[in-house]
Amino acid sequence: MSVPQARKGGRPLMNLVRFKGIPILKQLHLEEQLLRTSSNNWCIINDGTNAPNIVMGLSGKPSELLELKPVLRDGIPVIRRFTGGGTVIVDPGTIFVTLICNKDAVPDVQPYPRSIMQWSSLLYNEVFQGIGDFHLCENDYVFGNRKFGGNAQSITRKRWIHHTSFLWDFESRNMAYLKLPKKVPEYRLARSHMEFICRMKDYMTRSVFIAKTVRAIGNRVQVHAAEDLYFCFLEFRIPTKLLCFWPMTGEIGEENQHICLLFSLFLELLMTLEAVFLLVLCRLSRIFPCILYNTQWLPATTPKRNITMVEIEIDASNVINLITLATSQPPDGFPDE
Amino acid sequence: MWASSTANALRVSCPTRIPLSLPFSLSRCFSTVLEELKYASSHEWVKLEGSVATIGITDHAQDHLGEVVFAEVPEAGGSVTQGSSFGAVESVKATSDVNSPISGDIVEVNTKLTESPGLINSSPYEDGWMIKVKPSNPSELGSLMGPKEYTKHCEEEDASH
Repeated sequence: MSVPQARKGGRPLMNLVRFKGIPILKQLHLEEQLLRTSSNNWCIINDGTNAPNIVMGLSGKPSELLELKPVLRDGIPVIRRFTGGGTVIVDPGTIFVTLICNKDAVPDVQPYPRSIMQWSSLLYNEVFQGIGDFHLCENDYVFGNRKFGGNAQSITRKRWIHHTSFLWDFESRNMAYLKLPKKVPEYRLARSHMEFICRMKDYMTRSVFIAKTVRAIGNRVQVHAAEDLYFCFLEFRIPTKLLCFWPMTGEIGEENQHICLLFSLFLELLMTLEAVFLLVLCRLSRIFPCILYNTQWLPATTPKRNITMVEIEIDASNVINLITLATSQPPDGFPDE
Repeated sequence: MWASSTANALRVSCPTRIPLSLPFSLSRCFSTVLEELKYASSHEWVKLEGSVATIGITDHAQDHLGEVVFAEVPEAGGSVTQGSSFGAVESVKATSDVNSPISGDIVEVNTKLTESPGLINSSPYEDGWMIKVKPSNPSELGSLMGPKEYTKHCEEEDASH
């Protein structure tokens, strides 16, 4: 079980984990695990997922939300996630930013949807300040009246998660997999998907967005690269599911109980092996004090010093790469991508 | 419900619809709190009638959550533990855990919520009930809040934000 993090200088600590291209199903499973079994605060950034996937909210019904024939024809995976909200199609052009917080870590935020979104909108106001008439519009992030970021949340007794998928870029043809939902925000009017959404790449580069987001978060909490990525695998229900096609009914739904169990066991085995490896790695890092943690994400007021940065990355093939950067002064401005 | 949501967003209090057929007390936070119920700090209520306890979420909770579009309830025959989640509600892009105020065996679930989750908003203490439980440890009710304590809890929570 993770040890609760202390506050440092009055601000709560938040672990920053950065991925590039991990599958969205894996990301969602990790998020659920961290929400339910960790007592730390987390920021997870996944710079693009590996392949197009459709992700529905907890109550999403494929027959109502998806154009089933092209989805099945093209073999697009359909996932039902554990948070609420609508349906999105994500791909390598989507940037994901997730915040998992103890309620006590942000005591001025009530653990209700509107309050959490108000807090996050202030954070992203800072990221997009002066750019493209950014604002929160009926729970969506928009430039003007065009949506580029959708978010969703899950709230437990002591913690909450707020995750956002930003459309940095997208394939126009992928939007054809989605039906117009029954319930749409008022500001959408009668616009089609292509008239309703826009690309963040027209306003900001990926690296600048990610760096600005990390800095904005760092202005509110004490951010550092994740020290302990192991967590306790407690028994809990996992609502996030990969759905499958049932030829008998012609519908997309939850997997067969036995397949589901096998798949769940396989995923758990993978995650257990991964967690054990990371645990060993983190313990080794404590034995060798020359390996320090990235202080680049700390606010500018923190004194800079020579550091060796160790960043743990988990790539799409689930191989853990250890990257040791040369000892150097942290660069000014935003980090290199 | 729209009025209470707008008022909530603007941080203005407005009275919610009050079920006149039940004894009630009007709290300063303008959410309904019923006299004969017990309340958990996580905004669930429990009403013990004989050997069966009915559980749901409070008017304060439904007001803050917004329009409930989906309710996930367990199956009858299972069990619940005090303080642990037994289900969830979805509203405004968020799923929120619903925690059981007491421990016990589930004897009945409100199947109407599948088709009409909005009952939780329109009738949180009557038609919007979620599960009925046979308590395994009746002394747990003593650890819950009465209406006055719960009202104060809501006021303090709202005032601190």
